[in-house]
Amino acid sequence: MNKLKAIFLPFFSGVLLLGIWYSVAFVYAKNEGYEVQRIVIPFPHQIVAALWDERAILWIATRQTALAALVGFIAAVTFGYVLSMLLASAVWVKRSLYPWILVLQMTPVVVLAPIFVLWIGQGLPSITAITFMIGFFPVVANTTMGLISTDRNLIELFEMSNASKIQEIAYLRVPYAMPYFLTGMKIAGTLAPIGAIAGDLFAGSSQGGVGGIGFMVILYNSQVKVPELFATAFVACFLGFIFVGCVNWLHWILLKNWHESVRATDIE
Amino acid sequence: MAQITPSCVLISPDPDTPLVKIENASKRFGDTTVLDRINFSAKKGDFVSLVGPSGCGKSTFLKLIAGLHLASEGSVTIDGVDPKNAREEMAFIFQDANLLPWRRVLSNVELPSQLRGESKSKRKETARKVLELVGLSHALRHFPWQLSGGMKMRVSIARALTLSPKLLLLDEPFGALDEMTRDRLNEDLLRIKARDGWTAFFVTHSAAEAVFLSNQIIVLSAKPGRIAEVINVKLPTFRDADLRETPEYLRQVAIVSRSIRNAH
Repeated sequence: MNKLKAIFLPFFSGVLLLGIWYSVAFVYAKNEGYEVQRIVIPFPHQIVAALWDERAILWIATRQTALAALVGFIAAVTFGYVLSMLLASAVWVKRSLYPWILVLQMTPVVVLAPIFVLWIGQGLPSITAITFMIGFFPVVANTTMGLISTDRNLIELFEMSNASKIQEIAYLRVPYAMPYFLTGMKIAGTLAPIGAIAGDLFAGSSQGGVGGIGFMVILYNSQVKVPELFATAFVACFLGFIFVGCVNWLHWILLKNWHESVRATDIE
Repeated sequence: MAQITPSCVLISPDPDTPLVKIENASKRFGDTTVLDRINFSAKKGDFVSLVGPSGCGKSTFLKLIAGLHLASEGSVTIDGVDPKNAREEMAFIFQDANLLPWRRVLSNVELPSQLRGESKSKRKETARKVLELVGLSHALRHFPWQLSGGMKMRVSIARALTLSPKLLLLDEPFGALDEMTRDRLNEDLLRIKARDGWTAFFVTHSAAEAVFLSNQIIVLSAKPGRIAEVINVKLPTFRDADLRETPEYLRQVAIVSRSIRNAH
């Protein structure tokens, strides 16, 4: 019964939303004419048609953006983790580095984007760097928190066993910080496609024919191809779902045996 | 617990060999004196309970012996050496079971031998053995969250026993458990002690528990923590669950309870 509701309710609300969309677009078309309506509030079927017509070009754009997002994301997670280890290793390291990491984080990436382009050039390198900049802070902040908030009693347990610093890190701090790290990774995963698209808006280029999703947004916008613009939004949303889905899956795989966050849903 | 014999228990301190020696030890945190000039020595085989009002420094006392805290003044030695150099001889059992939630029962119990660098097969074997001793052979593959409070404590005890310690330090281990579970664990603890012969320091709030387990009870007074009284428990060295119904036992519990009240 609940399963039926879980499928039926979103379906019903989806149909309702589509209905509202159609009615608004229809009323608009009656007042302003179908030509204007098409470039202001296109009918959903017009968006689907645009998606189909542009599928080849959007597919290439999506692949480009996905690549930039993935590389930036992996760099953010890797570098973020290593940096967290460093920050958690000693209080003086954290005191000297953390304020500057914050300063970097507080500087809006969109402001830095032209500088990146200046330094490392248009296209994939800059886009990846922008994605990286957006993603690495949540990883650093969360992982560091996990590493330094390890349960005092557990640390004493390791001390009583004459554990070495390396053993304490490997067998205690790293697994203890895992849920925190994964939380940071989830946020980075949500931000990565957004970062890649934003990066594309600033540093995208059409070298080799097409750019990424952000580039297509600029292109369609300048050509007043509004249904195509909506189609691009749909594709971007889809990419975001894939990213978040993968990270959530990883979260589940790594924590399903022991952590409250995934266990709770699993018990019954 | 059928696998452990005998069912009765002999507490047999060896009168000539002091294992833990505390001489004039004080512990201060900032301006607060938590423990003030403590003198005490425990012989091999002693079971010493620490009781007293809350905030009297019972846990600090235990951590001084463990070397987790350093004495501000005075000295603590285990078998003649500094506690930090005697870690191989001792094991600490914490207030909550303190298990690693990401490890299964077996691998939690393997931890101390793993940290010492023993081979995988050897540490698995030892872990299996001690888990059998505490009656948890059926739960090797469980995760801590799948266990009751009492079972978690048994795992914690098993983990402490893996390296055959000479000195066991227990920081209010059964405080959060219901009375029946606590009684069972007390009996089991004495059975295992009869088999292994370790020395123990045991922090507790319960006079009854202290009397049942110990041959000596240190009553601490609060603020600052001083030894108010050391009570020798005048009960037979053979003890089992029936002891709790004897008048001598109840009399001893009354003596300890009164002493704790006076220590306020």
